[in-house]
Order: sequence, then C-alpha cells, then structure tokens
Amino acid sequence: MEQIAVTISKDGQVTLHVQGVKGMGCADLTADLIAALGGQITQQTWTMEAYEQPTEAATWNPSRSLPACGEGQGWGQQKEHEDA
Amino acid sequence: MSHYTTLPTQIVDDLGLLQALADLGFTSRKVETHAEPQPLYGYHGDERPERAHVIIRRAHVGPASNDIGFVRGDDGTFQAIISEYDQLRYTNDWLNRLTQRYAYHVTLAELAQQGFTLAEETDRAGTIHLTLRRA
Repeated sequence: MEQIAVTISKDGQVTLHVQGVKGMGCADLTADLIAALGGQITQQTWTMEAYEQPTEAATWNPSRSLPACGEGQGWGQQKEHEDA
Repeated sequence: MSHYTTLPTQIVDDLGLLQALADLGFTSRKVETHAEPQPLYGYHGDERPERAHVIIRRAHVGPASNDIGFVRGDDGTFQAIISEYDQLRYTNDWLNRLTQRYAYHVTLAELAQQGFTLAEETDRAGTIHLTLRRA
C-alpha cells in the first residue's frame, strides 16, 4: 500500500510523508504537488524503513539533485549505513 | 524507504486560490479573474495605482473597504494587495487561513491526479492532517 501523509499547519507549512512507494516513482509522485505549493523546499529527509529509527534519517540538501527512491539506489545516506 | 518533504506554501495556482477564497466566503461570483492585471478601486470609487489578476471588489469586502487583489509576480507566485484599513479585518491570520486552504485543495487535486484517494482527514488544533492511499 502506497501512502502519503500530509500535514498542513495553520500558516500553510506543508509536510509530506511518502511511504511504501518502490522504484523511481516517489520523487516524481510529489513533483507536481510541490510545484503547486511554490516549490521552495526547506527540508527533505529520507529514512530507511527497515530500521524504523528516526535517528537513521539524514537531511538532504535541496540544492543537490533529487535522489531516486528505489531501494539501494544511489544517495549518500545509503553509504552512511554501510559505513556504520 | 520513505521520505519527508517540508515546504512553506506559496500560492501559484489560480484555481486553488479561487477554491481557498470560496472556503473563506468569497464564492466565485464575488471574485473576478483576469489574464491581464486590472486596476483596484478605493472606497470612494477612486482608481488606485495597484493592479491585480484576481480581485474581490470592495462591495464584497466590507463597508468603507477597498478592493482586495492578488497579483501574480514574475516568479509565478500570487501576492495579496490589501489596504491598510482592510488589514484590520483581513489580517495575517486571514492570509494564513487562505494559504492553508489553498494547500489543502492543491494537495487533494494533485495527488488525485496520481491515483491517490483521501482515506482520512482530521483537524487538530488548527493543523490539518490528511492520509491518502493508492492500492
């Protein structure tokens, strides 16, 4: 089951939590929505669900290109796990 | 793998803006939309220097009010034009509510395009929580 949890604060700040989307799709999935919200991402965090620990999260620098969402596909956080 | 994305909302979509205005009582018959920005008028009927693409005429805003406008800037985002007098009633809180309603509508519309349907919606202390799922 693919799920997106959305929180919209009183001042319109939006947090999207995309879960269960495999393969290349998860960044594409929210691209149009992010554009419709103005596109000014302030924070993006990727988690490995297998660990289910928020401390495994790493903050992604929005100035870098979007990583793919598929398991094991290239991004620095994967490397951090391997190093750990 | 899952991911979180956080961003402030900027109003860029005119349909979403109209839906948000309707939620706050300005239904479509009270709101003008223009491809080219049109002048705003003051409470005396005087033409003001400001122009806007989306306009609520003063008769709908309140007694002794000026027109309220939303002008699309070069960056594609809409900025509100509200006179100092009308800011007593149409405050930052009002603009925040408008922004929140805008975010709500564009979220449901854009994720519906991706095949997601709304499974749960709650409002806790003014914060909207939505859960959307796709089989």
